[in-house]
Amino acid sequence: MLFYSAPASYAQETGDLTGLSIEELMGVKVTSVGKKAQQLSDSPAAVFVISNEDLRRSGVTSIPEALRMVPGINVARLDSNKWAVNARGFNSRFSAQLLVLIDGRSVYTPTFSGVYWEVNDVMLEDVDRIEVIRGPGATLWGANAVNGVINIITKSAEDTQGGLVSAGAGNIEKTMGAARYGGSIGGDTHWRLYAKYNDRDSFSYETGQDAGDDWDMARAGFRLDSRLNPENRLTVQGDLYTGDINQTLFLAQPSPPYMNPQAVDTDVSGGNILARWKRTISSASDIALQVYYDGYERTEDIIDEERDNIDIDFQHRFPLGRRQDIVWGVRYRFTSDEYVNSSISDMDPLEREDHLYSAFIQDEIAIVPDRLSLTLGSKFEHNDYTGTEIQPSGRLMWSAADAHKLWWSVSRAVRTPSRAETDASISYFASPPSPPIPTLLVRVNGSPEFESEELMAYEFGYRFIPMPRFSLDLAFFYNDYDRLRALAAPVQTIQPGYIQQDLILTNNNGGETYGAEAAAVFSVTDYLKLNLAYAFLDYNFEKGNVGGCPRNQFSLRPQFTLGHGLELDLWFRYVDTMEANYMFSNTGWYEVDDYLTMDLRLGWKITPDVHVDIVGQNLINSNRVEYTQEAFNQANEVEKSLFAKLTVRF
Amino acid sequence: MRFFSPFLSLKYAGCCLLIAGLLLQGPAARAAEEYAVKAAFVFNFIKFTQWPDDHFKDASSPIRLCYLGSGDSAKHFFALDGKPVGGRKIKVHQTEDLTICLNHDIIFVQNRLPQAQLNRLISSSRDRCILTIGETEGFAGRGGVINFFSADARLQFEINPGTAREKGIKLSSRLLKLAVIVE
Repeated sequence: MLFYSAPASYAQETGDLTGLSIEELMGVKVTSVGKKAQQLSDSPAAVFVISNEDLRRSGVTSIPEALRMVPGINVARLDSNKWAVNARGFNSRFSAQLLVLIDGRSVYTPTFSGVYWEVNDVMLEDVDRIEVIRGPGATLWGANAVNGVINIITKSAEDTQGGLVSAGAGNIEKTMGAARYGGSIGGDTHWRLYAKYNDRDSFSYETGQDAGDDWDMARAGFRLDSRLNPENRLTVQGDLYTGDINQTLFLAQPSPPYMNPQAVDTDVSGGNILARWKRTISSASDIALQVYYDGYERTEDIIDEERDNIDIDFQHRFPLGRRQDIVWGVRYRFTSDEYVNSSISDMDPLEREDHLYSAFIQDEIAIVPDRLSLTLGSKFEHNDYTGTEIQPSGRLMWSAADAHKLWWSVSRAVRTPSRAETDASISYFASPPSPPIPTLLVRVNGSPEFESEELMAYEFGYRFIPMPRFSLDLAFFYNDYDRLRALAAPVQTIQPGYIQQDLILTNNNGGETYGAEAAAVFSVTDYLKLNLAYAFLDYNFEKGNVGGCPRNQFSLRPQFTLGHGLELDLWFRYVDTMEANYMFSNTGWYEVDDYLTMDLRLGWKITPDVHVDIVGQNLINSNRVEYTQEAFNQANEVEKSLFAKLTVRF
Repeated sequence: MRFFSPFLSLKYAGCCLLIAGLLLQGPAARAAEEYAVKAAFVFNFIKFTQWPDDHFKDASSPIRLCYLGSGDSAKHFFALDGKPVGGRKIKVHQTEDLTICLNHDIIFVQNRLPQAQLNRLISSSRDRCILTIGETEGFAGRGGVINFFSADARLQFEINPGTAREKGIKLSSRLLKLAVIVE
């Protein structure tokens, strides 16, 4: 074994750099002291950035698991292959209020206005950063960015040159393998190809019985970045995936066994291709055009669906006079779907094509240069469900002193109806007869009258960055919700052999959530860095609880960088009690216990190019229910996971 | 049906990868501190700049570079002090005083300079034959000659050839070819 006492850093001092030609200098990657803190401190919003280093040191193997370190984001693993993720409350498998983008491509499905986390994956080693904005990002990102926006940004091909191969195995992460190779054509064009495979084991029910939710996914893709000339850049990227997801679904039927457990083998596959052209007019002005196609197919017993999306997005940024910076853009999105009904679901119409047109404008005004700036903007959208939606916002940023920054914002955001909320009818519960009560079948029905949910958000934040090694970021919010999704009183009809109860979706609920989030980073010494996140949330809803609102959440990640290439990373997480919608409970609610858990990662850089990771996740309080799906699935327990991984770069 | 244990095959693959990693060399990924790179760029800008024939006092006058700003980052520019370019040597000063700066041939304007001071610098250097280099958004559109900005963690620069011409400064076409040209 070869030992290196310190990682060979390729950083060079000015003396060496002056030996490079000017053309070579343009390819040198620039690092800045305190750059991350600097970037964040200029945003009048609750922003948290997960860096590539954060991903590596946390030992996470998927995007939803990485989001656990962000204050205000609630991540609950429902079973081996499903997650419920949301910001500032409302958590659910079908969380509708969070917009998620991968390199500018939306992975939000209009089927239920949410994200299928299990099919959205990237090679985490090649992620540059994940930007998480809690609060409405409506002006820049449009409708459905109500509670937050998650922006996953991968590294440019220039930054992923050469080869990387990783392989790992464990009890839950049974097999994981990934390989990437990047090269260049001339000095200005770079590319990469990658492939990855994951095979994961199943969890268990509370009874200890295997839940049959094991799954495997294979994925491959490419990226090409080219500097056509100093003014023009082109990026082309694409991915393909295919997977096999197992679940045990309980399907309602008005005959024995009423809730029929079926082992379902869900086939998923999809692909996308994206092209992005950026033209730099000056350091203060640029235009960007992005076009992409994204499609997926999913066959499971709840519903079979096929969806194709085409998205065209244009943005222009330019200065106006001495004090204003304007960004505006237009976008067109086409989505086409096809469903196959099942024994429990009825989608009408089975096929639909929807068009979305949107435009936005944002003006950043320097009221007092370097000190006070006001950002006003609005998004205007026209969709095929609710017509025109307008989402304005105003933000104020005050640099009180070098180390102290404050911001305020008021915004309006809407969450437009999903396909299921307007067009679907789903049977989700059946009970056997217990005389005098006959067999009962309960269905949830969407309605064409279903409207957009609306949010008025009032936020305030404070940032304290006295020195590069310490930063504190606080955010406070008050969210006023209107027209929230609720179920109207059931309509009963007599069917042959049973009574059918139809619940219709309405927008009868409303209420408020309010809370605070804190994030602190402290590089205590060169050997110890502390990352802290805390969130508090309280709520008040008119027509009863919405579910998924934990009062307190806490995350502490001490990172120890020991000598000889050794790293020890701990991760303590606490999530407060929550109520989850749960069909299998008499009350309709599952009381989820609060929990404190710990992850541990031991990393060893054998050489700068060969790394070994040994990771243990959920080491305390394992075998716990983190959350439940509303219907179809019984409560699953998250288990202790142990795995080892070897990564080689060449 | 599994015909082999996944753990066993992975151990075998792992060993192969380990040996490969120890034998093969990775491509040298060049990364450096922001101001070290900017200073190296400025050294190149000087190489590709021609001042008017009557600008320097005599053949041995130094090329005077002024770092207008404060803090540690200036140390990378001091590494240029004494370096020869086209028969002259570079002389580096750091100051926060605008009037002292105006007696130089090149001014590098740090981005932390307040707006009001930046405006004053632009107006007072307008008629002077000084190569002004900045790192503030929009600098080249407002009276500066060269301005740094970053894209994808790499440095780019914009040049206003009109402003250079007004000052009597000639920039090589090799330099202009690599820049974003601003009117």
